[in-house]
Amino acid sequence: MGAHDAQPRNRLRIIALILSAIVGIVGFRLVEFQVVQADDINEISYAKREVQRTLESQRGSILDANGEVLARTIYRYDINVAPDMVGPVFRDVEGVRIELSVGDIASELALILDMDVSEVFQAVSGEGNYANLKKRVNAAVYQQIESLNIPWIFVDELSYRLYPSGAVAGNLIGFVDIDGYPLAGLERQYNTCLAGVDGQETFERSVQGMKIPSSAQTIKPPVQGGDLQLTIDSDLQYFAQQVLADAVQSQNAEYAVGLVIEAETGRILVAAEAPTVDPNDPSLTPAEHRQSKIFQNSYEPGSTMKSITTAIAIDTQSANAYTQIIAEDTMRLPWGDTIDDSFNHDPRKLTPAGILKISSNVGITKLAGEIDRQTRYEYLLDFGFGSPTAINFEGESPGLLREASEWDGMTNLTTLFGQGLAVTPIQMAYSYQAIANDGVRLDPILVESCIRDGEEMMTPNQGSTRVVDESTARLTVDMMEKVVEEGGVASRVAIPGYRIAGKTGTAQIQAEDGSGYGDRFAISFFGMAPAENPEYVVAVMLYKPEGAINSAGATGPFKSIMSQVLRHYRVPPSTTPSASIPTEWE
Amino acid sequence: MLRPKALLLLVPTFGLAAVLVLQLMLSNALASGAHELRDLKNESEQLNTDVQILSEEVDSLSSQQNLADAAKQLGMVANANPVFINLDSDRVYGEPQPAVSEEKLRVSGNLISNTAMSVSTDLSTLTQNPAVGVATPEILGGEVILSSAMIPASPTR
Repeated sequence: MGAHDAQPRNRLRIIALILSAIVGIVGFRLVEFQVVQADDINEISYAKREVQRTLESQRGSILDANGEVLARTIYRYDINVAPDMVGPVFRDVEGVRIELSVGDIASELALILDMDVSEVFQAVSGEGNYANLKKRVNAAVYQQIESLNIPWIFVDELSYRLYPSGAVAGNLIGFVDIDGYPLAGLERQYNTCLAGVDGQETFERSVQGMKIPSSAQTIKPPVQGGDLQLTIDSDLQYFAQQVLADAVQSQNAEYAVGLVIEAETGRILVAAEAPTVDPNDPSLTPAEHRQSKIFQNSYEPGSTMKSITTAIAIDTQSANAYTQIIAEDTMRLPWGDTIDDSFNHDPRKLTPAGILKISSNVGITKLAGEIDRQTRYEYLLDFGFGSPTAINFEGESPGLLREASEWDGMTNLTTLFGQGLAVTPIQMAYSYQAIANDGVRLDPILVESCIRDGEEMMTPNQGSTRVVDESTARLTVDMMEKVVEEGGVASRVAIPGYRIAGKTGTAQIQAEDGSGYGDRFAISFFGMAPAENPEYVVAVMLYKPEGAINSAGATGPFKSIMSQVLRHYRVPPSTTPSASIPTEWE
Repeated sequence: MLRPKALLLLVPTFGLAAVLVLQLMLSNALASGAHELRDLKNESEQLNTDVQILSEEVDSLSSQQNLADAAKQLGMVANANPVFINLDSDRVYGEPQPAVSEEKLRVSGNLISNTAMSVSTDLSTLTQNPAVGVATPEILGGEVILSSAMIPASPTR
């Protein structure tokens, strides 16, 4: 009995011993894995589970003055196929499982992707894990492709820049390349505002390849791009572009530009060009029209400069409203050259307003030719000529204004009526802004702000220059009003109910081979309204219109744009008559 | 009644089983949460795609190019001679003239390219069913006359 009792107890002891040994070994290994090698094992394990992912930042939008979106970032999709995996696809149709052959699927894909079936079939019949079927399809197409649920089709989502208004303000906005890199215009100039900074996150993945919730760890948060708000009014910009495109077409001009400026603030409301680039597909536009001619092209302005010369003459007290000039139609200079008016006429007894009214080259030369050239040069600098504007637009031209000491006798006189110097349309328009704004030239503002996360990152730092006295500016406007009221363009520029001041320009263009002036002109009309208290400056210039020998071709577009501006901003009609100043004397 | 030794064996065994069952449940809950998260994420992506499709359509329909084309096809003409009324003085500024639909007075149809336009206004729905486009104006009473009886004011409220 005692021996029988002892046997199970021994067995139990042995089992307990074995179990203890197992537990001991397991415990030992446990300590080894959990404590001694814990860090190494964790590292290996984490490396297997960990996935790093770039958190893509989004490029900011470009907005017009009213918040209308001119550029924004959306997604486009590359549709790809893994040819090695291509095979029949099973699909449930009304509860019935049917098999679709590769040919059937190719037909479906071709229909959605707007491709030939043979093209699709060729792509899916290849070898390897990757072949592109179609690049940059839109979301609607992507959704249709996804709904087909084809296991061997995979899609890459890519950021894409969309310009919802197409070529509206395309000359200003510029464009980006297919990878989103800015190539031109404000897209490029304000890239630091618009571009975001990509972030990075890590997360752990399960055996099934799924992201484990709560494992995500943001190493670097993405910084979204800022929104750039412009001063441009896109509706008005569109209207002006329409008018200019119409003018270019009907007059067979090389190009046309138009500007609308708010005189008191210096904000650019319209900076239109025709032709201009559609940033959605810049390749459709010839290279020379993908830029912004308003900032980048300079030209000899011609007679629009006479308003500036008149202001200088008044401000230097070389002239007043009653100054008497006898203007012949030609003027022989001591060195043999002549200055001619654009039309033959008997000697006219003109005041400065009369000189502007008939745009007499001889008259303006007699009026201001005696003013010291250095003084005039400094005035021209103050009016903004000879240097790029404060906007410093990409590739902006400074124009061409040689120092007064470099002017020869002829240049000294031709600069009075806009020859012998070159200006950009933006410079010329802002010289008129100075006159409209009581003699103070403001730096142009094109970009109102850069807003990132609700905070204004940048606001314009606008400078101003007192160019001429307030009374000078007022008198100059009054004189320019006579151009519209009584001049040859009166019927083409006048807007019923409003007082308009302005000046024509018909500028000869230097032949490219330097052989003198050619037979094509840059015709322009620069003006402001309402003349009693100018609120808006409108500038129009057509370059090389066919058959134009005067500025008549520019007055129509000016009138259309100015009318629309007055309507758009609800400017009440004028209630006072124009100033009583003479244009001729007896 | 169980013997203490059996109890000694059963308690850890059941304990272990309970831990395993709990772990399984936890694991299932986690997996189900992950699946739910994935489904919701897919749904969110789907909705984002819908938003993108619709916003691109809105972009196209509200683009100046589409509106100009639609306005032209509908025969709309901008009033080139707006007039202003000073309500204080009852005075009219400008000369009121009817908007005349003369080809020479209007700029051409849309001349500004926009390759981003994916849809355009379906004019057939606008012309066949006015309710879809511009609502028929509702006259709220008779003509409104200013106190001075000089200018009939707009019946618009």
